[in-house]
Amino acid sequence: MQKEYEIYVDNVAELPLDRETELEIRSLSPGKYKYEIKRVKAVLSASPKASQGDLLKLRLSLGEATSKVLGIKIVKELS
Amino acid sequence: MAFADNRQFIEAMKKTGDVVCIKKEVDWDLEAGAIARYSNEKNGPAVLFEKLKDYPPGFRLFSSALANFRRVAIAMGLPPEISFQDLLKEYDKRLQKPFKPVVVKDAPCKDVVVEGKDVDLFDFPTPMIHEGDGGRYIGTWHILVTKDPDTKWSNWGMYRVMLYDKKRMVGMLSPEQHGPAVLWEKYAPMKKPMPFALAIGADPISSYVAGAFFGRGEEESGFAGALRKQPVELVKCHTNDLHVPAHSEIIIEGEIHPDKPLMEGPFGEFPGYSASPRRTWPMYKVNAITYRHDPIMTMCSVGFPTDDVHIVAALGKTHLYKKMLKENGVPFTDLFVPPSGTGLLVIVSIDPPHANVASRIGRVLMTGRIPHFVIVVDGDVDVYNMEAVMHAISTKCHPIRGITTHDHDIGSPLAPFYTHEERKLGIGAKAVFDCTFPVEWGIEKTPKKVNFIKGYPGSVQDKVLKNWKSYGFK
Repeated sequence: MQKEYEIYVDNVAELPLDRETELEIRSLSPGKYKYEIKRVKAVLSASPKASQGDLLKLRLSLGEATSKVLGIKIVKELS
Repeated sequence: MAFADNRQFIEAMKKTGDVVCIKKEVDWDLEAGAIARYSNEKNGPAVLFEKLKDYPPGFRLFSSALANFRRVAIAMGLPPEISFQDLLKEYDKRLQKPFKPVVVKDAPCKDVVVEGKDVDLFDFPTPMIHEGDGGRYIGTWHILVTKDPDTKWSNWGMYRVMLYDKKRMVGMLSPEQHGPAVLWEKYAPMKKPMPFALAIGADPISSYVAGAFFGRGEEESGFAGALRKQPVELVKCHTNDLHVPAHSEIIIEGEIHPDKPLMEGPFGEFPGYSASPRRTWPMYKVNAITYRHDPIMTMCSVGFPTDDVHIVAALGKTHLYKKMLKENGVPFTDLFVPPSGTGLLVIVSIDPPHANVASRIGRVLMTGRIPHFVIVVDGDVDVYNMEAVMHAISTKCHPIRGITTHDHDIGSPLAPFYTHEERKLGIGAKAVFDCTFPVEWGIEKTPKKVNFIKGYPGSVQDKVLKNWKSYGFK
């Protein structure tokens, strides 16, 4: 089952694609742990289907949601 | 008898019709926040959410405890219908004599103890309050207890706190605020974490004083006792030597690490906007949680006026600013921090004793981060009447000479009118609006007010009032 995550960014274009990067994301999975924040190593892709992973939604730094959705493949959860 | 806890306060409000208890399941994810927000904007009742989605029966959420002056009056044991002026008089009077808290050994807040690896902050129905918030805010109507390591002064503050993960939280801790100042001035240079206790769901007055405005070094617990007319019962924390209100619902204990930042925000705040950009603030590491059986989490669905934060600002800052003017020997007629000004604005009335007294008032009141706007009006303007204040601004404040600006000042990161960068850095500007006619104009050159009181001789006023009904008015 594909999971959904969300990230806050100053600029939608700032996220590096197709290479491993460290990110702070939050879980959008339903249930009591929704919005728990994690630091992860992940690879993002412009095409959610191509990533063979989960979905990453984007919000701007004052909380405005964007329509952009990326693919995210989590390589490792960091502490 | 003062209310020992929110449970007693809620029972009292059931009798006066000031609380709605929702038995239907409500989603902690935005729905509860939206319900409380709508009630706040309608000057509606406080809300007790009795069943929250994803959480076991008994785990409840209480919102909008003191979102109007009526509920502050109930919490202080006063008639709910009391006027703001009379409420303020009683408030001022009670604060003259703090009541030292009483330390007890056993406390309801320790019914259940969870520590170490078993700690899970997500075991409580912390709400996602507004769409777009950076996380679930566990601290919006709470007491953050910290202690000065040198003086042993124990500070109660109400600084927003967001859940990060199961054992970590993060919150805005601005260096010019009392509790955070101790963190930055004393613990950070020693490279040591600062012990904290977050008390959720204390009695309504104890929570109020945590959000109100007292001096550095002053114990809020004593003022809470004074306002309640009964000492607050405190109990020592389970894992550190801080003391918390014994009848609190949930106590979160741990350390704040100034050198371990986490990303926090954004959050919809008291000016009515989500304005402070996501940025790093210190991490709260949680070591233990103690709580009452069937705990009642608290929430302030903060935003556009009026909610608890505006009420705390109106009452607390009106008291504080009056005290500041008196201590500095500045004569004034009256002063009010209107809830609609969100705490960023204060109105002072005065019979000007000399030229530019408005500037003097501004300098005294602007020594802190807030207020950003000081409106000075003549003594005949009712500071509680916003129509009269707007009239004074639009007819007496010269668009250039009447406004004195103070640039390169500290500013609130929550103030929406600053630039994105200014909000990130907490810098800004302030302004004094002098809505009095210059004293040097003298009676010859000062425009004469035209209203019923100033525009007619007393004898004519008396005649009109005496005959009012006989003219055909009701």
